[in-house]
Amino acid sequence: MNIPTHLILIPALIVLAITIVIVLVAIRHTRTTTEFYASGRSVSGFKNGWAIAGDYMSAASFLGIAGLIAFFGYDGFIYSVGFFVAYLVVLFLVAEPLRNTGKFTLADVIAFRLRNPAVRIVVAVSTLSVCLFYMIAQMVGAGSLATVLVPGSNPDWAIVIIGVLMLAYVVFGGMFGTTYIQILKAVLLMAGAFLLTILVLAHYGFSIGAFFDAVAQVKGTVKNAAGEVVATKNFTQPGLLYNGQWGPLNLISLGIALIFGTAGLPHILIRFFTVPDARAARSSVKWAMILIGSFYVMTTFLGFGAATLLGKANIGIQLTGQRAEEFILKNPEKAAVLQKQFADNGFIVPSPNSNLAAPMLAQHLGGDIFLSIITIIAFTTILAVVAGLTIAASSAFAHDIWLMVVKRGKESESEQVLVARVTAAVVGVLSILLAIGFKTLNVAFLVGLAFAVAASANVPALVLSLFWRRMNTTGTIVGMLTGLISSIVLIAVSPAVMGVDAATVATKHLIQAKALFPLDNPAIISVPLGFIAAYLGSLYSKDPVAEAAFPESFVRGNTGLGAEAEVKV
Amino acid sequence: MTSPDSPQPPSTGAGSTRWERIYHDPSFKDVIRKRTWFISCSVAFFVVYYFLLLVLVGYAPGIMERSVIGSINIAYLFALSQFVVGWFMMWLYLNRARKFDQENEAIIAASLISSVAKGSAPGRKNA
Repeated sequence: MNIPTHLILIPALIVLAITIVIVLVAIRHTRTTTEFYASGRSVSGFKNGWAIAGDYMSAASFLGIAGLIAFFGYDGFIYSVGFFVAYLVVLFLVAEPLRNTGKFTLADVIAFRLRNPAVRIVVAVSTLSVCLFYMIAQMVGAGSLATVLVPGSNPDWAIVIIGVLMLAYVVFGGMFGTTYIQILKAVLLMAGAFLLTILVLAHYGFSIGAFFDAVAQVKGTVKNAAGEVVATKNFTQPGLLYNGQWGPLNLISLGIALIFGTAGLPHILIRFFTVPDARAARSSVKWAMILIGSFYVMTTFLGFGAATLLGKANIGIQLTGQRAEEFILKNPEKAAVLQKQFADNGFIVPSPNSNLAAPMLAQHLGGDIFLSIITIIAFTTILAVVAGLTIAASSAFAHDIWLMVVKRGKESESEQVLVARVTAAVVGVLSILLAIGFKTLNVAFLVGLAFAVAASANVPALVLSLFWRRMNTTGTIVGMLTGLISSIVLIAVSPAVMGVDAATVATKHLIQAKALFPLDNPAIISVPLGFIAAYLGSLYSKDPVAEAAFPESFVRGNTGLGAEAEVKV
Repeated sequence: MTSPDSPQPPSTGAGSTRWERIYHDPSFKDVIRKRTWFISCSVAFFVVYYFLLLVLVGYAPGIMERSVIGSINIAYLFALSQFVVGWFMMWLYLNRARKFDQENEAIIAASLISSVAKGSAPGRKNA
């Protein structure tokens, strides 16, 4: 995967130049808090739909899902389905009432009826946890991606470059700049995925039947706990990833986290405060669903395409010539397999890496130019997602904790914007340091954890406060803390964090011991726990003020009467 | 809005604010009843339809592996149908929401007239 430097540098500089222009324009639009946090509420539904798609389709979606399908076949596609269906939950339950009752943050909506600083602190803590978990995963991903796509590069540099750019975009560009960077990224990502899909289909003469016949020729094996092969399946068949005793429950638990978690992701929710009214919020979900749905349908062509055209064993860093021969000599236990690969292809892949499925497919179909374009798209994708997360985290701290709790709502506009900028910078620096600290650990579980916390803490509190009159301060705090703590504890003792690795494994489990909880994702337990705790907490406490405010919040939520208005600039 | 916090101080006594008058308005309750029914049925439907895929893939892979056309099996078509059903539900929601909007507008207009008649200020802030 040695890309000539000028090929990677030219598209990188073009994208960088466009983003700098965006930020320079954006500086003039980030003077007030409404501009800094919500882009003046003047983003159209169509643009916001693209921006939501940009915020949502992370590197985990693009590289991760394509890789899962390329390595495990059908089961990887289940992720795509969940990420899409999640938007029905957003559309039917959350988007419009959120726009109608909120100002800048999730806490504005949840604390609407509950005039209690403790609620704001709990919601802000939950928001900050989700943002940090997700952000570290993205940035560590960027670091490891850099080392494989640009051989010889230092992962720390990739993390610092991504971190500093993201920080500059948010601090200077605010929500206005972030919005246009999301749109740019979404356009690039959709175009890249579409081109790859067309090239894969062209390879099969645009015959879907021939394509699937080829997919059915790709075989994978199912192993039991002892590592013995118990079944062989082809890639159109389910069960290569989710199998064994806990496979089906793992699948269902993941599904719960995906479809409910999205409606609690802070960086997605704050996008609904950037549009003029509830109708525009609705139309943003429409455009987002059209884009996100088309993209996830295309992931099957990317993933299956990589499986058929490249093959799992060939996806990863390749060694050729003398380096390959030396590696085979040093690893006699794998020599037979590697020697055959060397004889067939002229290279060996010592450790297959699923994240490289999409970039290598691009190289196979379009050469180095296409590889470098897809590489730049992957980095732009990570950059845009972390920028969205940074602004969500900064509003949770600067607006919810600093302004509403510490300053009790009294601070001038210019000071608020200053605090927001400083917070964004601090969040950015913190995530750079954490990502460098965690770079050798297997942090894939953090994305699952972010979705689990969002689904178990944020969604019960948000949905119940919007639709249930009895929901009150005690219920909100008890429910959110239960959801937050149970998901973190369960994931800490799950196979995603606990496991005993062999000495040769490069990225190790965080805790080297046998897992205590059998499922990778805790949502099947923690989401019901979050709802039950919120329900019981409200039932066993009285809060007449919160109940008396329900008619206002409900009428506002349903009609948009008295909602925060658009700012004309 | 004078305070940066969204909620106005909750008022006491039923029917004393414009929000409560609308909240207790029979035609508003009627719209809400229809809306709640529509949303509950739709959410129940797509949640069940989604988890049906996961349950069948997990517990009945034998059925899901059956071929439909050539190498394309039930599992893939069922997963693909989630997208078609999702877009259909989206279209359905957009259509219904437009009707609810119109009914809400009529209710808001009526409440505006009644609050002017009662001499209290129409509470449309920021507009």
